[in-house]
Amino acid sequence: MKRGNVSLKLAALVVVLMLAVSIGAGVSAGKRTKGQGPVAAKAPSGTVTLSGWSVGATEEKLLKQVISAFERSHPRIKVTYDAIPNYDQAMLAKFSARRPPDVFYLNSEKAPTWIKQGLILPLDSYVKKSKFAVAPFYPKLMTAFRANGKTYGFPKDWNPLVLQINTAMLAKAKAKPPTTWAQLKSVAQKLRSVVPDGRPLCLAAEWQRMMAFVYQNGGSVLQGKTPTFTSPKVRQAVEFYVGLQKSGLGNSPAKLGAGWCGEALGKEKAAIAFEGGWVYPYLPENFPKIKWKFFPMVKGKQAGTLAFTAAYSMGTHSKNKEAGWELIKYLTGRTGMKLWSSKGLVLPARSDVKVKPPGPSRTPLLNAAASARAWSWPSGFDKVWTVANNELGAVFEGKQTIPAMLKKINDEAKDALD
Amino acid sequence: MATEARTERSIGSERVREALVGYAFVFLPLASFLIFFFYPLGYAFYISYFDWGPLGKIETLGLENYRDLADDELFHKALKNTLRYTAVVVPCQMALGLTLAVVVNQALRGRTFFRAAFYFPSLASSAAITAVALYILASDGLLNALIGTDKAWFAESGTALESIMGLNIWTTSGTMMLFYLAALQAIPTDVYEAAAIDGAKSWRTFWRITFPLLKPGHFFVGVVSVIGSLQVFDQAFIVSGGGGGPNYSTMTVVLYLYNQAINDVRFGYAAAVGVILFALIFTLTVVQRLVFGRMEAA
Amino acid sequence: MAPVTYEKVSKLFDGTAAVKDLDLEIGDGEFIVLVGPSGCGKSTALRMLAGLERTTEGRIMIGDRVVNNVAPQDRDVAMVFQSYALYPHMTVYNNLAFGLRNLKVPKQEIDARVRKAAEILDMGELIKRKPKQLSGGQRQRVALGRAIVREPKAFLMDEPLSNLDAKLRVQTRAEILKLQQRLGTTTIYVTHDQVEAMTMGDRIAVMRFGLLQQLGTPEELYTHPRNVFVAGFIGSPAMNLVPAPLVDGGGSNLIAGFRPEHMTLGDGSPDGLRFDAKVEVVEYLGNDQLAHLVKGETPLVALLPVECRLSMGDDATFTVPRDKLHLFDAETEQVVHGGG
Repeated sequence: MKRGNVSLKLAALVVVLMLAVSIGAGVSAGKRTKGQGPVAAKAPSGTVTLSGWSVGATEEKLLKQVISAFERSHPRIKVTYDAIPNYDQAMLAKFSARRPPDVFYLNSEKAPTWIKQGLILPLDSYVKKSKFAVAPFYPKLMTAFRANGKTYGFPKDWNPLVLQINTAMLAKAKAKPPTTWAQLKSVAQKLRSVVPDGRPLCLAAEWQRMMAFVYQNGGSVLQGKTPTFTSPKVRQAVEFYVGLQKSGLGNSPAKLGAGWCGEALGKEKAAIAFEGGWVYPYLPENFPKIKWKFFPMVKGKQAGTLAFTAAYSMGTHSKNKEAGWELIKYLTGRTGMKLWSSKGLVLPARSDVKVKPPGPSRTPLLNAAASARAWSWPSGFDKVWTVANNELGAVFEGKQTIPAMLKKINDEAKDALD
Repeated sequence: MATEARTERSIGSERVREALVGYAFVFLPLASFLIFFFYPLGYAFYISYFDWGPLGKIETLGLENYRDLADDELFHKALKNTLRYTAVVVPCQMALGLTLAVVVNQALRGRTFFRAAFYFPSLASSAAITAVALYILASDGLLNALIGTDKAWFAESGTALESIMGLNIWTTSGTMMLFYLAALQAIPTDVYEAAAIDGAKSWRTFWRITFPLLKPGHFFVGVVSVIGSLQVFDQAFIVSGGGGGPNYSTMTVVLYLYNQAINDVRFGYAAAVGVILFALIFTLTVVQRLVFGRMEAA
Repeated sequence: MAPVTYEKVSKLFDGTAAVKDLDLEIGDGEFIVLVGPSGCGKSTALRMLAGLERTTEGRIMIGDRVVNNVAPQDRDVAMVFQSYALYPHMTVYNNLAFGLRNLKVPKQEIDARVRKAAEILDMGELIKRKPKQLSGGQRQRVALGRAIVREPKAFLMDEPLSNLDAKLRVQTRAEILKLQQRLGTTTIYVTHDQVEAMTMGDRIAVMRFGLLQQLGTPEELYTHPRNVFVAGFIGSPAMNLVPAPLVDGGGSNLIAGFRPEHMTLGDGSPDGLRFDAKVEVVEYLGNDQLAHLVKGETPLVALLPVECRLSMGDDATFTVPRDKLHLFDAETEQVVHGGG
């Protein structure tokens, strides 16, 4: 009896010790990867971790090709690439642990917030040391990544909102692609007979689309630190956009029976969408029978549209900054950017990179560079856009008026800014 | 083999060794509980008094986060939606779970199959089910094809949250059924026999005998249901793309918390939302304990 | 109240007969006891009468109504369960009132009947309590009260005293008897305890392996048991049943049976049974002594007056009068010559 007792307790002790050892090993293994690159080496070397949000298989394959090209030209540097699902959530956790990847995507919308929180590394000293050319980057894209006179990232690519039109439907309606607000209405009118529901325009109930029209009307919602949602120019643009829905010329994608306007176009529920270059390769891959083309965004009082972009940046606590900078330099430099935008999945963010991508002509997108403003907002504005889009949805449903909506958003913006 | 006399000392040290073994076994789960549950809970309480970011404390605010929440219209909308959601889902879950349990408890043929079939939806991940539901409830989806309408169920403010309610009631019914089934089978059969001889027909037996004796089941299902409903997030997030729309209809407390934390990176403010939710859940659980609490022992 | 009849009633569970061919006619107001060892079918027979089991064969009648397909709710019988089966969430009052409420009896009448039943059973101050606040004996009274209040055609009692301690059991036995005599309701009482059967029943039905062994008054069963089983089952201490040759009672095809209390020490009556046996142990019972004997390898038991002087290890002679000797066929176990 006594002997049995002893061996049982011994076994328990062994189990506990084994578990403790394995936990300890795991913890120390985590620690071991710190500071793997040589400290203050003359030439940058070692491993660079690159992280981005999840992208489609085609995009990921292309990115890996670009990375291989980089590694060939920089034999002392190895890149480990990770596509991270739930990107924002995961990145914030890494920032909190002070172990961010060396190089990562920085969304133009999130950039001011992450910069304000001190998470992003200013790149000016690296730029100066390498004599990196900044001028070729489209200035309107750089604004999102500049703060306090410092530069925090370089755009890796970009996309503006332009028109996508089903050319077969256009021909059937015997109409020409619209270039002004008035033409948009008249062409839509003509297209009514060609779409099943009689609503040819796909109008997302989102400020991330409607804002283009605000810019076309010469308006803006933020002047310095003052929100101007209630200004007449903004109101007129909103009235025009909402008016298209109210007059039955268009509707939100969900109402048309699609998840987004690209899908609405593909399902032939809409003839015209206001999306970006990401419609390629989505449409050819999912709805190959549709005949469509890119067309320039319509003009109001002036040309205006939205640009969506993301930069390559480094974190304040990234480990291998020297090699990280080499990677950023390459990816956003002429060679890397040219390779990256060669397949037509994205547009080069530099004016000195010319590409001839497959698929429909990208000229309307490239020409938008002059008038496309980056979608980027001060820290704390996510709540403003949540309110704004909910209000816009309510307006679409007829449950809210435009002036009331604009006042509400304006108040919310004032709150966010102080 | 010489047998040793057991001295007081050896008994004492044997007790100590036994205690140590006990602690050794409990140590890991206890440590896990403290580290992964208790500590973050306390931490959240703590940071709710600050403006807190990924890199730590930014500014001491005291109760300002809570004062701001008192005036926060979007938070109020989230709270109202969540409470309305809970008020509908909890009774429905309880009723449906109880009904299924009563059905499955009959000695019907194939009851094992039905028990498994009813439980099946609970096994699938809520994200997967919501993704499928998005297709079924689309304006050109299966449901509309069956009942002949063309509503975009998740895209209209009058039906979006209600669709999520229906989805969740259906998904969790199997789990509630199992809880009720356990409570149902704990009722001794001779009580039913006595009731039958006392002239009680099926409905009367259910209302006067079964239902009151299910108090432990009501309590457990009620509490689990309330706690789950107040924390609804997955479906609201997937269905609205994180925006809580259309027209705020799918904005729930946890969705608001998530947006504040991840999008606006206001960790302290989000923590304050969490603390309020915790207090709400705690209070409702205590209330339920008082209503259903006193369990009857046969 | 009403008479109850079992007509060739059988109950089969998966091919095994729990009750086989039971014929029983119970008179209006009679107190009949079904007794036997576990598994003899007595509870099953009772439950078939209650409607809690379906009869496989035969008919059961309450009064002149065949109730085979009548639901328990509609048979107008009341049952007292071994476990009492009180409604745990209801007060004593509501436990008693439940059955009457189901019959839609007017409220005032319910109140009158409940209070009367409580008075009969001396439960007045327990009315507002719930079962978990009651002792075992009190719960048993509530179970009885539930039956009384219904004023049914028959009381069905399934081993109601088994869960009580010995002293309470004896007390409650008498109370149930008094109650039945007062109310005059037909009562079918199931027990495994032959003492309860003997003291309470107007008639007793002894059952074994689903078959009725003998039906009769306690006296009939005691003096004229029809087979070995009944002979050995009824009476305490049990009858001595030994091969006849052992005590010079007859040929090897017979079994001799004689009760311990009918044995005398010494020579006794001349034409009775006479044999020797060795005393192993003597138990002193106050008024009598119980002597455990052995003859050859066979144990015997004798109940003798305390005046008889016996010591352990003694060899003694015992006699049994001829009219107290029972002879059974060794093969069929049926009585051949019994009890004068």
